[in-house]
Amino acid sequence: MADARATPVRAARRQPSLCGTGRGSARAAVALMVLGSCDGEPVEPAPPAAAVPSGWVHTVASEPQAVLDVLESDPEGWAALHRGDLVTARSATDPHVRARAERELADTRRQLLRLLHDVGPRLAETWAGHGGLPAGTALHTWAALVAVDADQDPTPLLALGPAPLDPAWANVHGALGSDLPEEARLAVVAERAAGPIGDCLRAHVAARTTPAADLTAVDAACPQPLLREADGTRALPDPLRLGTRHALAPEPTPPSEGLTATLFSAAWSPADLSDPATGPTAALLGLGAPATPDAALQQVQALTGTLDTWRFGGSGDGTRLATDLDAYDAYRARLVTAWVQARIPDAPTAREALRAAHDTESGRTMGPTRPPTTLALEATVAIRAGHVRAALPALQALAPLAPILPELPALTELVNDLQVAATLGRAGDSREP
Amino acid sequence: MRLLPAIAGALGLAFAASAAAAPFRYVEDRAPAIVDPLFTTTMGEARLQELVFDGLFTDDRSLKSTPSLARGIVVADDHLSADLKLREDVRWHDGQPFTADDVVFTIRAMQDPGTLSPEGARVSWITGVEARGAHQVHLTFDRPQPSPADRLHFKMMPAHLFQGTAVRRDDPFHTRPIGTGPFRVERFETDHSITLSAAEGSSRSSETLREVVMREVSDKSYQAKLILYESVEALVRVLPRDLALLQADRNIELYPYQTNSWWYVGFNQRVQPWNDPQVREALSLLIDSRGLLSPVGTGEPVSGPYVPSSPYYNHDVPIRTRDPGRAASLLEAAGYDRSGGTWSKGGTPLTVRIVSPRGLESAQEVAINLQSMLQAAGVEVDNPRFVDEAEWKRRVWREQDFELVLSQWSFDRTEDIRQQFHSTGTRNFGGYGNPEVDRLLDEARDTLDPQAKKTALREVHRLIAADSPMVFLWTLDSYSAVRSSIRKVAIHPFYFFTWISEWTFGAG
Repeated sequence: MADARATPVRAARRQPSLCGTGRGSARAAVALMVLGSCDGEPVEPAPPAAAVPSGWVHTVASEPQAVLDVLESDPEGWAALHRGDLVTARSATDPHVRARAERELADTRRQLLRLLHDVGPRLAETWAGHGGLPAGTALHTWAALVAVDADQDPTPLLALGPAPLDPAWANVHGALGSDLPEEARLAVVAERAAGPIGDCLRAHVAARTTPAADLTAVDAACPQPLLREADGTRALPDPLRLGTRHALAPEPTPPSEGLTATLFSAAWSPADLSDPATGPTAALLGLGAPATPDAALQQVQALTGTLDTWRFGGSGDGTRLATDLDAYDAYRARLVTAWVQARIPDAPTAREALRAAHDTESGRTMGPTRPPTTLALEATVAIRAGHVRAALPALQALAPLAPILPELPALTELVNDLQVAATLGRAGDSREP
Repeated sequence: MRLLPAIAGALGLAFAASAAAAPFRYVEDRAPAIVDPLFTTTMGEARLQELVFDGLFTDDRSLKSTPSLARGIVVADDHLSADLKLREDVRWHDGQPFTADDVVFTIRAMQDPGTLSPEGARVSWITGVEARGAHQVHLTFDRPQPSPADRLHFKMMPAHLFQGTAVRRDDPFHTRPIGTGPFRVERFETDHSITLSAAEGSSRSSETLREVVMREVSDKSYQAKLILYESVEALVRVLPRDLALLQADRNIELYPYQTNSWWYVGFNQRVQPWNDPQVREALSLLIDSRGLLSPVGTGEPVSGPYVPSSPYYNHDVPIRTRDPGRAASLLEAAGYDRSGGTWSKGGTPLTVRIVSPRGLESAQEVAINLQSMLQAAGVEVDNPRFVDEAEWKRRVWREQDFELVLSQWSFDRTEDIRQQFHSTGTRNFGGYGNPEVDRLLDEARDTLDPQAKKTALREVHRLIAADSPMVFLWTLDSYSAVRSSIRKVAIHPFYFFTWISEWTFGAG
């Protein structure tokens, strides 16, 4: 669903003052901005406010022309990156945009991989706890594979039921149940397992360890879905595929200097690039390691308060551009995402931090203040906190990225299954307004 | 900002006194008509009940069932019975001890046909309940229940205040409720607000929230002003157009309160012409739901009885869009013609009469736009009627004296639509019936396979959408607002106040 506010020209639609027409494509509107204000007067940078550190958001407000110069290189590409449309941004003409999109895609995929590693075992445990696993199933063996992919001990999952009836899965069950090392468990299981599932595991391991490999051998070796039972009415996808795709993706090399490196990112300045969550700006904004949800809320409130004081430092066209781009809120969303990922392992605390930074105007879709990594993180922490149902809207918002995250629909179905399993046998309640 | 006190004064609003001494005041669009767990049907009633009553089990913060009035449960190996142990330290708000007799009474009252409780289906799976001592209860079930604690969340009622298990809706209890929850009802005010005070001894009481006031403010546009000027501490649901304003106020926190709700126009399928599926489908094809939605707020159209993020939503069912040509074909097939500009059959014009609950926000706007839309398409529309809760329950629920309703359903996370669409459902006041839907709903209820349940209910979505018992409209984004002087706020995704014991007044 198109979201007008999700482009750098948000206010070109919402605030005709910027470009007069209130309509037009991203390219046309950015070009208008680049050419100057609509009445022909040049854009004059506002003087930087005192005490505000140098960084991309401040540059937007104080030197809008510098930002417009960057955007001019590829208005559609930057617009796509800004609104989280990584499908378009990956095809941008500007290589900086492409590299930045690849980096964000990798971050999102990594977060979804964490989600998968949580969901797989939880699904088997929850299913077993609400009526028991079906007789002869390999569901728990499948979940144990997910655990091994995450380098976790599969033993508790294997103990949820007896060995599967299907000989191929029974063989994998045996391999998973053998004495496994603490690391590289998947490779060991792949070595020990025979049969068609073993072939699939070996294809994954080979792909992950062979330079310049692709998914062709995996496609050939692994049936989709990987697990089919009860005449096909019960099916689970290949849980290793997302991890293999992630391993095969070339390491992105986004720009490391200048505005192209930081614009629309969690790094206020280049000094924050290596770790925005612990960089100098995060420290200046008071972000620490909160131990409770209330402490997380207080830190987000303090961060927001400081950004508010920085927000009012600009004037004129710069302020308008910062508003149009949602620059402060977009930065806050990305910084809080990086901070939660790096420093808040406790799920309820992480959830409260994300809630406190949530932009209620963002609606149900991806956008500048709700980028893909944030959505993937929202879904992950909701599940970890036990609020599985709350993960589903975030995954639904990510759906437009399915062309470049082909495992996303199957992952969403797994979360659907987990939600259904968690409420099996529960008395429902419904009310009028 | 300097003008705020003056504006507030002009509006007759009072700035709050010191937070520590103040009550916690929250706003509902309409005050609950009844505080009796046997008869609640609305979200506002459910929220108030969460403050006054307890269940045997409740949700912990990770939404797992945890004992509340129960101490524990031992389920038989065959899952066909269970023994409940009750807490021995619980007293009703009137000082009487909570015992096994209260559990027995509550279940039997909900099951008693004389009670006419809309909640009866929540205990229909219990075939026997028996007190075994003062604090032990034996339950038997109609089929194996792997986790009966998940179904024992309904609120307990005090047996000593009733003469028998056939409870009347107008029993004095409904305005003098006695519960075991963290707050007791002190008084009903003339302005429809309800004042509650902390109940001593409740395990769910808050140390700093000692008084709660539910304020009825039917004018939604006024609600935002009340919280901005500190005249209340919380709004249960923020009007979508006020979100930006409240989000910009750094003394207010916004919390998602997505209750899996959807709007609909429902047909009474017992009466002509709405018993004809062709006419129902035709009417739905004359409605532009996106056009109706845009003035109401941000949300998403739905194609059936689930919200799009639901596991059960069938994404293969398209959103029905306005198609006057197809509607005309259906009406002609049903015997209507539009020779005089208005669709009529045998000289009787096709006329729509809509009734809607008064408390449904934006309902008037939607109904009036709907009226214009249908009139332009050749359908006569009587002026919509907006009725209070008592009339709604009488006309729609009990007497089914309506043709079309405009309303909304909200679902907890189970998203169980059985009561709305099963032919025996207690909330199926439109009279919908489809044997295949019944069969699939039964299968979904009984299966222990999540994927089988998901598949069955997606098919239910498809069948119901095809039958058009309702025009499915949209789901709205929903947020609550709480002043930041209230700390440690955690909102239950459906019942709202479940974890209020953790909330505290703090420095705002």
